Amino acid sequence: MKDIKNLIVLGILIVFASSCDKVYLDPNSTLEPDVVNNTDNLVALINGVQQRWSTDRAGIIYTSTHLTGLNTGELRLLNPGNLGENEVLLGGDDINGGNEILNNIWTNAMLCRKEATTVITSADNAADATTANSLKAYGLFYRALVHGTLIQFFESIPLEIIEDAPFVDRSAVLQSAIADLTEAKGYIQSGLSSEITSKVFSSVDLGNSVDALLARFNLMAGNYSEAIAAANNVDLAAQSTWEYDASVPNPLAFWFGSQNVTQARDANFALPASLAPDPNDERVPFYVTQPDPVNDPANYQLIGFWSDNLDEIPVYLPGEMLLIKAEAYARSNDLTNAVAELDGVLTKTAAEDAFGVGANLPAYSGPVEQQAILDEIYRNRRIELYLTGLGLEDSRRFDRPGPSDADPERNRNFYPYPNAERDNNDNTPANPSS
Amino acid sequence: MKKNLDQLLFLTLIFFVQVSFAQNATISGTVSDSEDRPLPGASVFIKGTSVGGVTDFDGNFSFEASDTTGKILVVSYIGFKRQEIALTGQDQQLDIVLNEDSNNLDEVIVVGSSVTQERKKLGNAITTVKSVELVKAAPLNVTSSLQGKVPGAQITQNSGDPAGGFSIRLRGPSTIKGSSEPLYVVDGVVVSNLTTNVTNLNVPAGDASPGQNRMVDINPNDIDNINILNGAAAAAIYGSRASNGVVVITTKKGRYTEDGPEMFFKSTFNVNAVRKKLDLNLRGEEFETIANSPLTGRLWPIFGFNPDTGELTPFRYLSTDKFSTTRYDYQDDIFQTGLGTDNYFSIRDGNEKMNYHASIGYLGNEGIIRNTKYKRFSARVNFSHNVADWISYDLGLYFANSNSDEKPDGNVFWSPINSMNITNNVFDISRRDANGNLLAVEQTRVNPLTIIETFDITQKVNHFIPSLHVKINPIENLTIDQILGVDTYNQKGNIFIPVYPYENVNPAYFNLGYKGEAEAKVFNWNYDINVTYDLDLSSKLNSQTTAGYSFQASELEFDGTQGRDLDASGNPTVPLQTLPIDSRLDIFGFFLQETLSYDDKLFLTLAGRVDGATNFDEDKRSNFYPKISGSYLISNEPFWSEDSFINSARLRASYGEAGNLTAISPFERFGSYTSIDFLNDVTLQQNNRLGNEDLVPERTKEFEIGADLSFFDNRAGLLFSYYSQNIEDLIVSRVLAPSIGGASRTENVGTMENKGIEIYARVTPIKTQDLTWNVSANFSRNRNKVLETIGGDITIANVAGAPPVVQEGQPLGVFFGTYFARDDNGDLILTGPSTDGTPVGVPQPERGDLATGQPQRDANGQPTGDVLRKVIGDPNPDYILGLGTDLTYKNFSFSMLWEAVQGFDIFDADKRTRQGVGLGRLAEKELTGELPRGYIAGIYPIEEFRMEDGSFVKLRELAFTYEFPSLFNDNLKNTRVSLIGRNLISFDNFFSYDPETNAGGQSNLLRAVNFGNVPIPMTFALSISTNF
Repeated sequence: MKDIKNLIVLGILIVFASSCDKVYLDPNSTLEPDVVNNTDNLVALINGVQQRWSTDRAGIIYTSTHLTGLNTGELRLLNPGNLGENEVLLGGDDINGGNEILNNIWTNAMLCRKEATTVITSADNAADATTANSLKAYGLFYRALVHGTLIQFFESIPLEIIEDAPFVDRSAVLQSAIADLTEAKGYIQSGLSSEITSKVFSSVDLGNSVDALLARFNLMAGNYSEAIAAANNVDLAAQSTWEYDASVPNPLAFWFGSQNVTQARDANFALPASLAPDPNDERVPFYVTQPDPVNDPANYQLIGFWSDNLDEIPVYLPGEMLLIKAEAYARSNDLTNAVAELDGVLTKTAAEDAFGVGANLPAYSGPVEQQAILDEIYRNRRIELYLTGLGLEDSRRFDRPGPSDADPERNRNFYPYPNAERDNNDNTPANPSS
Repeated sequence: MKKNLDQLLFLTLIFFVQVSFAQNATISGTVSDSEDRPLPGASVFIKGTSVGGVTDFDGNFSFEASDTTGKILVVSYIGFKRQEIALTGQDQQLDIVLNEDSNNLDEVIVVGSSVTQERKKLGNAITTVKSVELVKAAPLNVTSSLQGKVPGAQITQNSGDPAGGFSIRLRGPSTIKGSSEPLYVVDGVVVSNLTTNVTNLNVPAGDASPGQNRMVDINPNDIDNINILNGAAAAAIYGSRASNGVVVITTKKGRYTEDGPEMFFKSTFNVNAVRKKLDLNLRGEEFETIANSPLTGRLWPIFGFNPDTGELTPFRYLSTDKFSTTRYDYQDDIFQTGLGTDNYFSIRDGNEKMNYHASIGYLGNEGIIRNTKYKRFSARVNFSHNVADWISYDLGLYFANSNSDEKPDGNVFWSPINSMNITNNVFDISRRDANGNLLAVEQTRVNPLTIIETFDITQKVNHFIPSLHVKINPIENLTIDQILGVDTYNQKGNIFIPVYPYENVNPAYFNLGYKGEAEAKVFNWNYDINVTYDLDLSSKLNSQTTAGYSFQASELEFDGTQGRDLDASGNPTVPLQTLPIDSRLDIFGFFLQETLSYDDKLFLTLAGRVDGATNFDEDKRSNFYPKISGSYLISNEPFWSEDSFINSARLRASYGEAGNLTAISPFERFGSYTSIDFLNDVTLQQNNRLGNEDLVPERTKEFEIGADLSFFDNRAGLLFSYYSQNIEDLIVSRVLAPSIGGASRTENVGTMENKGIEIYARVTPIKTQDLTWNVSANFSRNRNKVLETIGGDITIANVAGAPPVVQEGQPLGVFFGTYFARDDNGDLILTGPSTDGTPVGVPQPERGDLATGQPQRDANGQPTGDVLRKVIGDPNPDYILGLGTDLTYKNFSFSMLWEAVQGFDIFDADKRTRQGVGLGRLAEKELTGELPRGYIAGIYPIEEFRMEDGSFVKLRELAFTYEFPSLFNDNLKNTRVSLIGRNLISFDNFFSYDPETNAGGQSNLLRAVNFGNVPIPMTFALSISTNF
């Protein structure tokens, strides 16, 4: 009996002596070292950036389209219970740094940038230089896309990933984006590793997209000859798209289809009466259906790239390249070439366009004057590039009437900085007044 | 660790079989009160040992013990003063009379897994609720049985679903990131009360965590008593997992019976009904939106039509042209009167050595939403065995199986109540096509009857809680208690939403159908060992030293499959990804506690603990937490007059620290990447939350002081406590500047405090042979304040549109939103003439300078500038008051319990929804002209409009009971017939159904939000019970 007691007491002491220094790891997530040192995981991260950018209501495709579309009048709001969208629709001082859509675009773009930067800085861990450069090419493309896109909505943005990052003005941001793209183009020209390209989602045509963004951002920066050169490098027959599957649908198709958030405002493409689309413009029925004039006269519905959850959304449209060239020539006062490129858009038929966007109109017949040609280019950008998120930048660049002008065509020039940034970054500048 | 334990268990078990019995004396007798009534369930033990027993139904006890010479027999019973009797070493027959003790100072209560202490020695107030109090109103759920009975506890039923969850807060919220729910311990087993929702895979609920919580599996009829340890200091024995307080549940045990087994049967029949129906707009007209369109009228309170552009205009150009329509009240289609039964049978028996208590129960209860139901089968066996005078053990086995038929419960617009809230009530929802299919209602919405009739959402749970408690007295004055407990359950959910038989349903509501199933497997086990050495240092000074170790391991596996767009055979064609959970957490702690007692009047306890958990970094996880408490029984001083009207008086004080080890999830300290299925591949995305391996546990420092008094021959008692709690190193999900490449990081950057008082008072104004009248009251008030956070306000994600925040200087989770513009007199400033079609003469939001928060006025006295926000509501109540009374006249008794929760605000999301779509009663007033046209459009963006005073006074329990002491030749004893009501009356000014609601479920941050969840039913019950 006594022995039994002693044994039990001993057993208890053994339990006491055990201590706890276990480390449990989450089997369902991947830790940093396993990402930066593993090429396959870096490729998965590149694909993750594409997904973060192009999918979901908080992603950049949805948010940039809605910031532009509700601001400039491309979209109508079906239910003001969607508070973020409603504030964007009202604009002016009805939208502030607490707005959900502003916070979404800012946060997700910054996260895309961080992920792209992780790819760029970790690429050199790869086995060979070609692999590393291939990874970098994708990372640089996305980093440039983030910078060049955000700067269309905010006056300045931080370029560095540090605490209290300083904000950098528009020209420096565009310069940085162009530099990233130029570096990426160098890697592409030296040849990318098929080991990488075969694993990255194939819908984004990296080479053509880098040239297209170079054209877009050079135009925004006022580098007209560089813009023309870059646009000329784009193969207009190529398709570069954001791709979707049934589970992760085209976010615009899904939410337009809900009939509870936004839809086409009308068939005017946010153009004033003086620039209204030509009734024969075949791009109008490509993008918008006409309502039932008796039963439901205001109910314009979007089709185009958003009628089905699996519809692919172009990364850029071939027509944008023609219009970039037309505008660059026009602004350089080379009006002959400007009209030639403009005619390329006006006379393009659906069959001739890689995505079936074709106006099929007569060639330009207006006065061969810079302003008249620019007006026509603006009209065609609004129609050809409908809901691509470029409309706010266009409205400013073409000096359309702003929020404080008569008959305003936009309700904000730039957006206030999101509260998350302002509250936590001492370098956040004052909000723009309009 | 685990292996060692298995060995130990094996050893321990083996030895039970071979022990022999020593030379014994038989100690027997009866225990009764001063009026010669037997006291069943009184405990009779030899001091410092586990030798002894419990009295049976007639107050008899009997047990054998070896060598009792010079030992002390301790006789105790709840509500009576303890007695100590010296034993002679011979067989003894004792008739013991106990005297009443209204504040239960001598009561021995469980303060730790197996650690007990007399109340008088404790420095903290601990509330004990006994079985008779718990089941007076035949509750179906343990948590509801505590409502209104515990000072310092805010107990909210989150939903009126038949298995609806509850949330308990003891002394306010104790953390921001984690849960403020207390720790539940049933017979020494740490039992999960978590919400693991397996039926809302398809609901993006933000911070909300609605659904069943697992205490629903515990049958309240099995419970002997519940001790509630409110504060961190009280919880020293349980350690840092108990920083939110502890609910210690002790189930009924077997006992010595002289004449065979005692059996008990109880049957209750319940009728559940909606307590209050809403007054809806039934006026047969509405305003036009699009003239001459079949869609005209849709969203008429907020939508206009611009005649120039021909487009719909939210909030502008509201038409004043009306047309006729027919309106319906859908409440009659979604609610029902739910019936239910609760049957319970128990048996207990025992001899001097062994005893058992076994029970089975079956509960079936219908909800007040049609086609909702909860069924629970439960069985419990508690077996005790005094193997020898130095060793005894208790074995407990509990099994519960439950099945629920559910409907979506809030947080989505396709729940029965929300589908009603968001549909203009001009559709006859019962209309069907030739095939019997229901027809569409308003565009994008769901016909409420579709949900009631065709949504199939079920949940099945198997829950098993075994426990083994071994008590050893290897040498005199030394006891070693060990408890091994397991809490494991398997929870399976199925969700089926068929393809809607009509068009135009919002695809976010799964217009083409949805099917999902999820399973959660939880395995928790805990091992506790406590070694106590009790020593009389002198005739007046006693020392009790306890050392202990506890270990708890939790494992949760959660996975599911789901998809939408069903094919003809009902299978999904579009798979949706479910993120699996596979988490493990170990919590461990050592403690050493010393209690000194001097002359039965002065008590001092010193304790220290080291606690740790694997969710913190190895170098940060183990921390030391001290505790000190004292108690002074001043009425035991010689100078205290026996004749004083104050019969007993005790002062107590304590200071204790505890860590909060569960404020972060098991893997939260790591920054990581998540895999997502996309385009037939797997992508990686960096988590928006960055990692922080420097996190340390939060530390709660609590000071408490109080007094226990009893007066007038113990006919009245008063307990008072004041506490002040500071929570340091508070863990906050800090918002980051996104430019740094993350949206948040969990950091130790906050401080929060809770201060409050708790008062419990009871008085027995009348006590005669035939008539007894008791009144009791408890009052508690807590003031919570977030003292410090970094990085601005923390907004709390939710789908209800509520604006709760964590803001410095404010109580946790206040609502921070837009508010009405008012003039200096506090009157609303109505909108002036408009040029853009906005409504005229309606309320508007305040505007001004964002930087200063000051309102601004333009030349016309109208608000101008940015829309301003301020704190518009606080979900934390000012005070809680419980008031109960019992009246017993001969065999008839009456009891009543009221609970008042006063001074808190609710964000009533449903209030606005109903107005915006046109079925609300304010919408009706806009039709009648009592409110100006455009009023609803005016208030729509003003969040203050949705704030409602949640204060309520509820009649929690009402019971009339008649007891037949003896029936059928004494074959049936104490047969009781009760007519019972629960939640019958509520005095409140709440706009929607019931101010007692939490769409956020057990969420710590998202509180007091009403978003389409089921109101709490009123219940009538007839209950019959008998002993035989």
